[in-house]
Amino acid sequence: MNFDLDESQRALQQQLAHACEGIAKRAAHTDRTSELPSASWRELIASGYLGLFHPAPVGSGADGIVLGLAMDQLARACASTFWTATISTLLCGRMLTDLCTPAHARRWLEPIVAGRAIGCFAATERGAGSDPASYRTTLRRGPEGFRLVGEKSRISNAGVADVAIVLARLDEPRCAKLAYVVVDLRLPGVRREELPKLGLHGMSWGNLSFDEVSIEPEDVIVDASIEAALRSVEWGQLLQVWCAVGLAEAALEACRRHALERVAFGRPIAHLGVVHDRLADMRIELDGARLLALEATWRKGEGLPARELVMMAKIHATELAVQITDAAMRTFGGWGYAQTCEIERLHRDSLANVPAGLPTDRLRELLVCPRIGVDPWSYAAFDRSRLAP
Amino acid sequence: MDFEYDQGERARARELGKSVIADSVAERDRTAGWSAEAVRALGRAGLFDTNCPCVLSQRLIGFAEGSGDAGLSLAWAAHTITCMLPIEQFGTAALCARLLPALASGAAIGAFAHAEREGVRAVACASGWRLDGVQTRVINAPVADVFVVRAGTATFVVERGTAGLQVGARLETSGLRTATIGELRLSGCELPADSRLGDQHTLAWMRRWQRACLLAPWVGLLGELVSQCELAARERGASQSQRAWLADLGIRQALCERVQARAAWRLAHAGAALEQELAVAGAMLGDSIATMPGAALRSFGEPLGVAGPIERLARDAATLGCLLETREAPRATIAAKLFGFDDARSPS
Repeated sequence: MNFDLDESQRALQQQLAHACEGIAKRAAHTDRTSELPSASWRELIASGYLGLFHPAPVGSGADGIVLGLAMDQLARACASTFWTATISTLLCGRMLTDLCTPAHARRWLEPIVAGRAIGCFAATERGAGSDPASYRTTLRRGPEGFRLVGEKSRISNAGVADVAIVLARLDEPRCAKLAYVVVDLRLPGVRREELPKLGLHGMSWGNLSFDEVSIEPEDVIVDASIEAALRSVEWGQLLQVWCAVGLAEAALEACRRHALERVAFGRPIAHLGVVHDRLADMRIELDGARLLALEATWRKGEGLPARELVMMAKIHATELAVQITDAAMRTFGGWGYAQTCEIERLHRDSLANVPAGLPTDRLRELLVCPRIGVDPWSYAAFDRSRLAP
Repeated sequence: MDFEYDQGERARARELGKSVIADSVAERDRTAGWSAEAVRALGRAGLFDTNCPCVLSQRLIGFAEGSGDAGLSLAWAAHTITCMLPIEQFGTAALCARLLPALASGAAIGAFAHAEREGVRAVACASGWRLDGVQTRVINAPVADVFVVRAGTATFVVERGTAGLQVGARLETSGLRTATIGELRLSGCELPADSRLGDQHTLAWMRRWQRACLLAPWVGLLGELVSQCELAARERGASQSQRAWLADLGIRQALCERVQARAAWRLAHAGAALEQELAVAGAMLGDSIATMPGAALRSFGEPLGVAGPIERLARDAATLGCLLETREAPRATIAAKLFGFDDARSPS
């Protein structure tokens, strides 16, 4: 047990904090224009962030603690840039290496790590989210090979990605299997549609539809183990955890500066009991969330089982970031509501982390049901009479 | 940084708590029974004998989760953290030689008197010091043999039997009934010069230990609360909302466990973040103890409020709330660090 960063971890944290300064300065512009500035992307590539998640020779390979610190720094700077980059290199990238073949990794991972290509993961649909049994996108096998048909919805990076790992149902007699399909999104038959959203304006998010898209047999992964898939999804959930931690830290830091600068009743508002107690509350809860997140990410980095811890971290950190950015708005008074104030953006951005990568309501079920002998995949019809006194 | 926890000390104390203490908790809670023999058993097992905050807190956690006894866990924590350790740290060699062996074996019990009902004054006199005043809510007071007493910013050791020291009757409490809590009255209580422990910084040193380790048993007790709620949910069923709350209870316990482990480690290794990390642990455990057991009782307690482990922990937590530092105290430390204030209190 050691709760101090070592020299190399501290150095990398400082290096990334420095590299993210320009990205942070452009965060408001990114949000306002809904476009990720090319300068931010260039700086991100130069920082080495994209390569941290993958071992050499493709990447530089960092331990779990460094990955956590790196995600924290980028999320603090700009949540939109963080989401775009991390969905691509961490979620899609880890799926390419952990679920797919070495050929897929060679074709797609190198450009993703170099920042020349962007990846995404497409699972959810218009009518299906937490319940994979409801997925309808289908991979058909016909005389001319595989065809992908259907629509994926609410997909991060949908509008800008070059490659997607698509979860599809195999349309074969008596087959209820789901397959991972590696789809080159430049193929004919792929359509993209951007969805308007509340926050994360700099990240593309929308629908991907597949109209008889021709798929090569080697791009269909049918025997990917569920266990391996869930391990990849855990990385995705850590992405949301660290986005939440970074956003909350940015909000707390903004509040700290504001409380020292803003004068009311003859002194900075930091002297008001309700303000310094509120900021102390933020610090307490955020400190706990970061510690849980670090342990979960460390375990993932060490290849140790981490599912329960990741779920706990996801529930706590993502909901906490919403609470902290909301409390931050109150600390800023009316200014917290103005679009010129960063708090307004941080609050909007924080909301996305709660439902993404399995909503926290669902995660609570997955966490508790197995421990009390309840099946989390089967629900009876709701009966109001059971609530009667 | 790594998170490889050593579970050995915790497992040993858990086993002892389970085999020696657990069976009698309900009865001692009902009768407010104090078990001197249980304390001696802990002493014989060598559990009091450490000055490492990590080892001590792991033992306290293990004992609490094995025994489910919040009162006895608190008695142990007060005995070691607020009496044995300051004597070992600040006492003269003669004082240590006279008092520590009996305290370490459990043959003698220690207590810390710091909540003033009538301000305790210490005045220098020919023999050393003379103390006057009344301290209340003293954990272990009715059974203690050695008292660490706060007088203003100074700290003294007072032994039972000293002329002018009067130990009051046990206070009747609704929770923590397996511990004993009482008052101390000091009137013209004369002490030798070496009875003073350290200087004006001793209390700050003790506060660090208290924030790091005093509530450690509740890491185990909140874990026990999770287990009891899960048991109730298995036996009686739980709505989706109750299950969601149960998940939150588990998360809160996991958070407490981690901030407490870090605080203990930080106390052992020091560093710039020391005060803040200790305050975070004190605040998070204090808040969780104040809220979670009561809410668990409402959701998963025995029907009609019949006595049981959840009901007992809810009473224990409510009583403990009256003995802890205020909710504001750790927040003042954290805000001071955040704003760079010397003192975070707002001028009125």
